[in-house]
Amino acid sequence: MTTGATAGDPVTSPDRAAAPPEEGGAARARPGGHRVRALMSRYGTIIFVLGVMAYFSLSAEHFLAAGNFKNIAVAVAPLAVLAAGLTVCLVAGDFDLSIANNAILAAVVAAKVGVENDTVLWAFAAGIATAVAVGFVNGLVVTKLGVNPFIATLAMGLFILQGLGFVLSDTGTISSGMPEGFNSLGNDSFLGIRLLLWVAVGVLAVLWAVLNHTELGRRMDAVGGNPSASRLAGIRLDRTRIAAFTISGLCAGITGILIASEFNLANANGQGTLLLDAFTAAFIGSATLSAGRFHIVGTAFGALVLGMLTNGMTLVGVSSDYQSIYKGAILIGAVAFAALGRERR
Amino acid sequence: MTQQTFLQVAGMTKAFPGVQALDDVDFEVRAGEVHGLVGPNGAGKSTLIKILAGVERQDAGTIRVAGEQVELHSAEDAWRHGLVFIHQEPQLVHRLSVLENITLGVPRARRAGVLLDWPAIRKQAQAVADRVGLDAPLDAEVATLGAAQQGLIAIARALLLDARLLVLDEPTAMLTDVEIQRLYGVITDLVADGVAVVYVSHRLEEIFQVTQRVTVMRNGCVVTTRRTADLNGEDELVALIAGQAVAAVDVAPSARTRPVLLRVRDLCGPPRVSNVTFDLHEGEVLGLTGLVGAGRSELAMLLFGAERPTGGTMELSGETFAPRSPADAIGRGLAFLAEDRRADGGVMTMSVRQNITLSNLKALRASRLFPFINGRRERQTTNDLIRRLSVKVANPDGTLAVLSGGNQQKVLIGRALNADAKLMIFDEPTHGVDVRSRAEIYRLIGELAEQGKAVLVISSDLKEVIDLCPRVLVMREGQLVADVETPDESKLLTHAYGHRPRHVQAALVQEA
Repeated sequence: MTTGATAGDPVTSPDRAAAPPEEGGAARARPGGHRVRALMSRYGTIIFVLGVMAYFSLSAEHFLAAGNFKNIAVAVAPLAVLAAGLTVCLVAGDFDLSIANNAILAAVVAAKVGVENDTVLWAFAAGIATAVAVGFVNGLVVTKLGVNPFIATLAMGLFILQGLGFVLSDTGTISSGMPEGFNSLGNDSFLGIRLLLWVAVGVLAVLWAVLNHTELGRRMDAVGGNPSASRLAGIRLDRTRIAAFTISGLCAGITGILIASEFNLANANGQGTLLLDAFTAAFIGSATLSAGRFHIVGTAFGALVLGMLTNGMTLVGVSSDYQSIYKGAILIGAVAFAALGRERR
Repeated sequence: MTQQTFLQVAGMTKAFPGVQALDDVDFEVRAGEVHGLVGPNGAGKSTLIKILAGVERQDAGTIRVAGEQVELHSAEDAWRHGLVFIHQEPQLVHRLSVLENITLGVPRARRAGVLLDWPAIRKQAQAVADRVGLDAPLDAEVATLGAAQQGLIAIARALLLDARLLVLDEPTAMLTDVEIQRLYGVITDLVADGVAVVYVSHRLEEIFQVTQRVTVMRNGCVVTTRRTADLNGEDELVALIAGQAVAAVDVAPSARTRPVLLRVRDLCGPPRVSNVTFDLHEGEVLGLTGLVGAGRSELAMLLFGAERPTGGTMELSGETFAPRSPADAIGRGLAFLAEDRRADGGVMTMSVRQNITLSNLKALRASRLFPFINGRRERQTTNDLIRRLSVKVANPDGTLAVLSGGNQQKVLIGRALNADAKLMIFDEPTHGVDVRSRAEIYRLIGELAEQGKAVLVISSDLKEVIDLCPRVLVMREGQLVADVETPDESKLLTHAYGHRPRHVQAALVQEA
């Protein structure tokens, strides 16, 4: 048994333990409880979302306005990129808990290089390169040193990267001296749509293609499904897993510069609920249309759901403390829905 | 003595999408009998067993246990009615001890109603362990034990659960002949105590050895239930199972005059392979047998680059061959079919197609620059293989998990074929595979040899290696002890058991 299997134990192990028997339309012919469970695992989140939307649209008059949906999409764009990178890791059977801090570090690096170098391009490139390097190192630590990814990325994110962010930014915040145009990526529009959204849609489209239509994506799927069999089928486990962590790092980097550009500042302590949100989006996604498997379209849906909930709750007047409580409940609910789709053994 | 009906299944019907798994099945098992259950993969045996185990629910039909109608919603329900199931690969907790596994799920003795009374539990467990002839220490970790002992642990647990009907699903698949004899002894003791045993096996000689009656299933229906003694030998049983006569396979001609493809010299590797030397020729079907634990699979792991040798050399087509990983070995033209389909073979969460193409994704590359997978080519490739191997699959885009064992095996063989290997290592290729698929796999191996490919067939099934391989290597305790041409059972057994007492061999040869 390779480390990949032990890696995901806390949350993902049920995914690989039993193949979803309802796959491929099998659900329809199953009698009684099986059928309801399979349907709920695929469409439960969608039904839930429609219900919540109905509620918000009745209680907040602006919720259904076209402009509001655009706002939601823009608001969750950085999160969607981050969660999409995480999804790649989850597909390959790994965990990356360093993504939020990695994104924040990328923002700090971008801002600092911007201040010192006065070139937007260099600033963004430095931010992304840092995050990619972090992802690569995560991959090395997990595969070559055999450290459990849960612990490795936790230590990397919450301690090392967090610390580095403060060291680089001196006071924790870089809010002035950024070059001209540093904030355009996060605020300008192209064809009436914010650049932020273009970037997010582009990244998601590329990752979707990678996961569904390339050799690398197929290998990740296999390694996440059965590492031992994958190895004997000729897949190089280490390379595949390192690639997954590196992609996760790349997405964290892009997220970081999107955030830095949008607010024209970098705050080493600004990760907020980003990590939890990314996991929530990915798990809502795994409970959507797929009976418990992680996929990019689902993750995008998950990010939008989160954005919609935040937006709707704010419009209705729910305080942020309560919002966090609801979000936690929704994450647990999403994981439970995903579990419904899998065969119980 | 008239035996009483213990289990009565009537009108059992169960449908899965696209498949009528069970169609109005009647099935009756009497207390104190061993009842064989046979049929090709996909005949409905597993579904019937799963329903009786409380894992699946029937669409229609009734189950009566000792005359009383019962509803089985869970494994615990089944246990309460005395129905205990032992799977091919027993479901044990590998990190726990033998003692903990034997008593898992069994109400355990307690002190003052709270603390587990380990001395008493240990005594109970030792008693059942002795009864099934389990010689591993109770404190040993299950992961360190072989398949035979794990199977015995499962049976010991069944005894603690006070089983009145024991279902054994391919119980001998992983066992050596001596261990099989011991298992028969255990079964004889159990039925003498009035326990009913349902014995599911593809090995027909075993059906004749242990069962009093046998039920044949095909396509979800019961073909017949007969007294085993009334059957006219294995031929009649095979005809009932297959619905048609199965042609015997022709043994491929010896290929020793052809060029050497793989040259292995003094190969050593942990934990027990030592100084293995042999040549494998192009177009040769070479058998590799020995008792379980003799080091056959370990040798395969060394050849395939999954483990690193500690000594010795290999040459492939005259060039040095030292694979650093299975990927390396595959790159050099090897393919491997793992013994344990679920753990090391199939990626059950992926589709049938994706499993077939997994070892050779490069061939599907849409263009040289972009490593995109050409979906049309993938469909073509896999459809061809599915047809060629006659895999029964309703939807090739559905997961591998829904296929029967024999069909899963064919898919994995398809993966090896798709990788276009020149040397194939098949570890127990027909383990848990029905009669008809088995014949197809044999035919396929013959075809591969004719095309000049070399096939190393690792098998515990002596009849299989004898039928299939003109030359057979025998391993014992990590060493290659014999290289047998025109093998027969007595030769192979003599080498496999080495210094074992002669009467054991004599008994085994006679049985066979």
